[in-house]
Amino acid sequence: MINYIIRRLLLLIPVFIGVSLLAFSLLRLIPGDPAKSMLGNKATAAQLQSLRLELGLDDPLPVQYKDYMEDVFQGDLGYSIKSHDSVLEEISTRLPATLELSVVALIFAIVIGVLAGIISAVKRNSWFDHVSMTGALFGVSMPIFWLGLMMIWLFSVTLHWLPPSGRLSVGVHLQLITNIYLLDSLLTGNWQAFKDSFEHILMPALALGTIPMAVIARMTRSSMLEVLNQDFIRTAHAKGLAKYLIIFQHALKNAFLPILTVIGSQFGFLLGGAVLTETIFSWPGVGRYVYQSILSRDYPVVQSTILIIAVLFVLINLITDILYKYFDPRIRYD
Amino acid sequence: MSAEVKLDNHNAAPLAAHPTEKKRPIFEALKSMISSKTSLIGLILIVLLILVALFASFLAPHDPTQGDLFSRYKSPSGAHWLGTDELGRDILSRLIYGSRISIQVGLIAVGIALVIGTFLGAISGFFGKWLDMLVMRVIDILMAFPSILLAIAIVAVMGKGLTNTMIAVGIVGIPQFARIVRSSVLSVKESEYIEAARAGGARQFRVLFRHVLPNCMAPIIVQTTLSIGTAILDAAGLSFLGLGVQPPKPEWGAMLDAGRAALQTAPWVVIFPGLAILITVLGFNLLGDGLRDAFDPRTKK
Repeated sequence: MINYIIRRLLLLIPVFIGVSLLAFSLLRLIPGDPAKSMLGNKATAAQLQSLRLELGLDDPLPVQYKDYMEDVFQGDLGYSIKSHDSVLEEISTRLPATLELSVVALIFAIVIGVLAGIISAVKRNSWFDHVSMTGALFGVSMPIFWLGLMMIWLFSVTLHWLPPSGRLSVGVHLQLITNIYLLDSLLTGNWQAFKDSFEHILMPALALGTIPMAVIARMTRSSMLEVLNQDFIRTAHAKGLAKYLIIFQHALKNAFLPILTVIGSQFGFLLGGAVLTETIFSWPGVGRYVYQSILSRDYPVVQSTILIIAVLFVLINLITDILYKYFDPRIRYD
Repeated sequence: MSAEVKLDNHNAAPLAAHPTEKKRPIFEALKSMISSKTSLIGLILIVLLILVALFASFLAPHDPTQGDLFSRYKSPSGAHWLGTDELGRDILSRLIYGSRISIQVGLIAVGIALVIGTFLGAISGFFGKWLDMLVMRVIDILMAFPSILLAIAIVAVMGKGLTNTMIAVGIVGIPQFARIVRSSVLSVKESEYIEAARAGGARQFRVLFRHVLPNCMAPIIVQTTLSIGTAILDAAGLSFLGLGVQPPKPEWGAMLDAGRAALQTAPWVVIFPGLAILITVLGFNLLGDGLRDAFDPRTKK
């Protein structure tokens, strides 16, 4: 196990080099003069020259890459050319918001998806099976940006049940510790803030979680069906074990590995989907930050944020693989 | 016990009746696909979409780009079945013409992913060694980015517009094809008929492209179908963010973006383009699922 983890970590090195090269190339691949593209046509020659100096754009490319990587390893992700804020600071205030949204979305997706999948498999061809699998089919085909807008239209504009944007209502106070509002409000015992931030996160998390939920539901159903047909399940029935014990202890345990893989792969989708969801619900996370930086041609921000998201994504995939191995002793990687 | 006997008889009967008939797996698969209800619905949806795109100029009741500022944000009525948008353009006509863009984006983007991904996966699986190592590391790097984010980054560098959207969405799709083709090539290349082709003196590339790849078609066809749906979804997402296809082109995602401001007063501007995307993607997913079941002997009844 330890050997496996070490080997996987070593394999990450070429991936990290490639990812950083790709993120680094972004700024340099812009057709024409990157400085002009960032500052616009009205910039004076002096302004352009000072930006080039600031970003080191006149140095040879290998030198630029070396300088950039040195900065990254020292925790310096550069500065925004628009606001001159430190990118690291901006990301560290926004990342908790994105993580909170992704994790809540994933919890919705897992709880609803796995339950729906199990019930569909156990009650195969029942009305529940048909309804939930039709729903899952629509779910995997869903343009989540449209779903988000429809939710706002229904629950905010028409019914006035839920707030359409942001993380907390004006006037609700919350002492911040981790910047994860649900957690902070629990830690400080602030129920008003908890209820309020939950109402804010409900729609974006459901919109973001829709596709993973559908994928997980379908995977759970097919994986459970395969296990439920096996001999040891028949034996368990014959022994007279309670049905729920058979389903949750015997079947789910054996059906769980493919489900786990799907869950891991969906986390990456969540990080990407956050760009769309955060934009629609004005959720102040990393996804919206990348998007706004792209619109304002703030490429140093784009470069470093994309690097951070890719590194996160790769680490999550690694953790899924390790968990997979942990749960399935049959798999030997070495 | 009796059930088993019955099963055996059932299986043996057709074999005995046509002992020499050569079965074409593709046609067998197509037959079982059409007999499945879900994939038939998918096929119908896609055929309808193609017909709408082909006959857009006959079907559209109005000019998709010609607005009428006196009839902005008109709710659905006899004159405008799905209402009008912020410039007074007929939404139904724009949706009809938009189907052309979606089909174009889907086909070309997936075409890029299919050609490059299949080539990379094929040479990687077939030749192995350092080439496999190199290609797979490149694929790992591409897969280190959430796909929509990578597409956004590519468009940010290359610029907005239809062509760059198709290229970006295409690049993002390469890893999936490469991995699927690689793993099928790995299993097919060990077969005896490949050994025979080699023994017959066929050159490496000929073996790969004439003997190995044709036997990997099933997963490639399934992945192509499913990818078209994903590509249309991703491209619509890019256009929704204002980074993809630009107005006044009647792209569905761009229409959603333009209508977003009027969500409170004219929800139809947002509802219908989204439904069009949903139904189109659903069609490709249904067909892809059906094809997968049809090709996969394990799921056959």
